[in-house]
Amino acid sequence: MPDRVDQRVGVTAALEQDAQLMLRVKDGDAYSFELLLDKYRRPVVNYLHRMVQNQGIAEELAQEVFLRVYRARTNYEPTAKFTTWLFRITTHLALNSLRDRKGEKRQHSLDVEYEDRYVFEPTDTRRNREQEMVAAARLDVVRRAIAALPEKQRAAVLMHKYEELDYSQIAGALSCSVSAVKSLLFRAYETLRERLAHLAEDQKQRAR
Amino acid sequence: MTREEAVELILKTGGGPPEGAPGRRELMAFLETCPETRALYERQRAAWDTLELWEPVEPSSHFDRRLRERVDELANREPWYLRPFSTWRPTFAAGLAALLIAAVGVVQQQPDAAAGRELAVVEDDELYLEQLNRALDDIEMLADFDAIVDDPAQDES
Repeated sequence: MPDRVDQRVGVTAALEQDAQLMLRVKDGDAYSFELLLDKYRRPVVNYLHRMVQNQGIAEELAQEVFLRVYRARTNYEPTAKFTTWLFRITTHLALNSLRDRKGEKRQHSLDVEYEDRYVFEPTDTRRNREQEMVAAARLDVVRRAIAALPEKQRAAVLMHKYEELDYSQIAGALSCSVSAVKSLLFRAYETLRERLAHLAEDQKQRAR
Repeated sequence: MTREEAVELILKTGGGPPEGAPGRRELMAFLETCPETRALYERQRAAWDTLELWEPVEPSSHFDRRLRERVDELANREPWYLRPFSTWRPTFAAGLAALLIAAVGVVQQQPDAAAGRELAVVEDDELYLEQLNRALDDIEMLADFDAIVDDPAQDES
């Protein structure tokens, strides 16, 4: 019996912190759920925001992500890294939402789609209006470049660039192999290098 | 380092590993020897930096409140044993306390019951004796009454 206890303690100690928190949520500890929410609220909302390019929809989807995490707690087994599991749920919801909205997208221009475009801050005295307009235009180019990527490439780039997930985590989230992730990222970055080249050049000149 | 390894490292790190990171020195040395890979490195680095223009957003202030409401709503629809311990703990604690009080009450009541039974026996005995005395008094009284009725002369005298 003590051997089994030691073994269990060893397994628990080896688990990553987030998985341990999730196991506590499974045991009914609501505080551990709050801790996970505190840690992942921002990454999940931002990833979804960049995927669907609308903060309202992103937050609605993020709510659904955390509700699914909560609902799945009873069957949770730490077979993969918690982040991978969380981003698999998040990506699944994001891709479904994009597919659902495809019909609407065909009817509207991309400009209409950007509901939460760059908001001018009149109180911001650091930049003048012209600079703000330039910044907004540059941001718009970046957003368009990302929005134009095929969905899976977009998801891979966003997880890699902004959420700093490694290849195996991205593969887990996209339910594909690591080599498929490398291929997705290679093609996505190739496209982005071309589409953002003029911005990069402009940025270089401004820096001089 | 081969060209393939250099390209993989550039893409993996989004434009080359930072200063001091593993592989950085080897990559820089390789780039000195391969202008083609150097051009890729510079373009990738520039694209990576441009992507930084898209800054993260803050979730709205009502995000947590709304989520908590939805989680509570979900929890209330689940069987009680699946609910977070904190939501049913007060009820559970109150129930347990009530059960304990009831159990203590039952245990404490048992000697009282025995004493009560003993008291009832004593009271029954006293009542029996009193009833017996009353019955004897009644018999005696009736006997005296009969004697008066049977002998009227006794009254005249």
